[in-house]
Amino acid sequence: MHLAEGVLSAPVLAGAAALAAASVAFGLRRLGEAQLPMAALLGASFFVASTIHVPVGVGSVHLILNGLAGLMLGWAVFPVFFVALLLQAALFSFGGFTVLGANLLIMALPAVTAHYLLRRLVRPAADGTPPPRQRLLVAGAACGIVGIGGAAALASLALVLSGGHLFTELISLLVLAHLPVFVVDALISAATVALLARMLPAALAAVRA
Amino acid sequence: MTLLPSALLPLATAAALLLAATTAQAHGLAVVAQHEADAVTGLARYTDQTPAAGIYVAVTPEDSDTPLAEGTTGADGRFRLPIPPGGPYWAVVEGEEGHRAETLAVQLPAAAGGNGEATAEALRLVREDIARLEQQIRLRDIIGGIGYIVGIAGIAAWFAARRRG
Repeated sequence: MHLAEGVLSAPVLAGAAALAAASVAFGLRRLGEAQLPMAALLGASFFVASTIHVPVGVGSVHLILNGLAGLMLGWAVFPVFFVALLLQAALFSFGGFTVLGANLLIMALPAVTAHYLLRRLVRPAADGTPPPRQRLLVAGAACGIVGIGGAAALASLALVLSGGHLFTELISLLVLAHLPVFVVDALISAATVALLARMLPAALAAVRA
Repeated sequence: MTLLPSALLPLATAAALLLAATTAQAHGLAVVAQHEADAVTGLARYTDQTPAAGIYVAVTPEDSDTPLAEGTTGADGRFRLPIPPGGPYWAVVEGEEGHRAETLAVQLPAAAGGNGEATAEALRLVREDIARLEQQIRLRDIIGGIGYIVGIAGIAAWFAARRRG
């Protein structure tokens, strides 16, 4: 879901870059010292995830995990994803430098949405008891759905605003093509959240209000 | 029993669409192209090395975006667009999800003798191999990227500690 160079129109690129820059600045101020190791870990996961292609059917999919990172980090995903996307563009030519702002919004906005929608589900109760396992699994799966679905919707929006060759058929295909990513991302996120609750409840307790 | 097949049909359709759609996944798109005697030939692949089949391809002159020839890639991701002599030309491919890649179509020297087509074919294969090696995601790049992230987190931690102290 990295949009390539030369696809989006100049006003869309400029608007996205400005919005993304403001969000990164805001996210940096929300990134607390205690969150740093978790931010680096999730940033590294996000960076590596899209380089590992898992064959599904005749094609292959890769994890994105933006919803999971968003749930844990909130607004701090903006600087984290900025670094990861910058490295992906520099090392693997995924996306590109001029579309960095647009790609950042596409990945990070749904992640922040996932944070605000789902954080209540995963935080332990006041007395420290973790939430029931079922609720954790639901929250994890919802991370995948909100993260990938939102990213697909935003990518479509950016393409529609720019106009182009294949863009009308593309919108329906985009969502359809991401169904396997939906499933895989939701499963991995659900498993991760459930595991964290059992092995490292402090990580979920730290999900910021 | 008649209910069963009617319920299965949408499911099967969805599964078939899904299989068809997964051929174009969320990867980068890359293209290699060369200008032969009477055509621009090339190969479009996604970064996981699956061929980019049936996507839009165009040949444009160096100084304009107006295509001189347009077409689609074959099932193996290859294309061949007839083009008048001249150049230099650029090959542009546009895939789904806003994937786009372009490259200069390198002019192949005209082969002497009767085996021109065989020479061109050999050069094509070599260029495709080189492109494949260039596009490969390498473990050392992934590890290098993780190193960058650790370093940046370290810098951030240093700043945070300084602010506190």
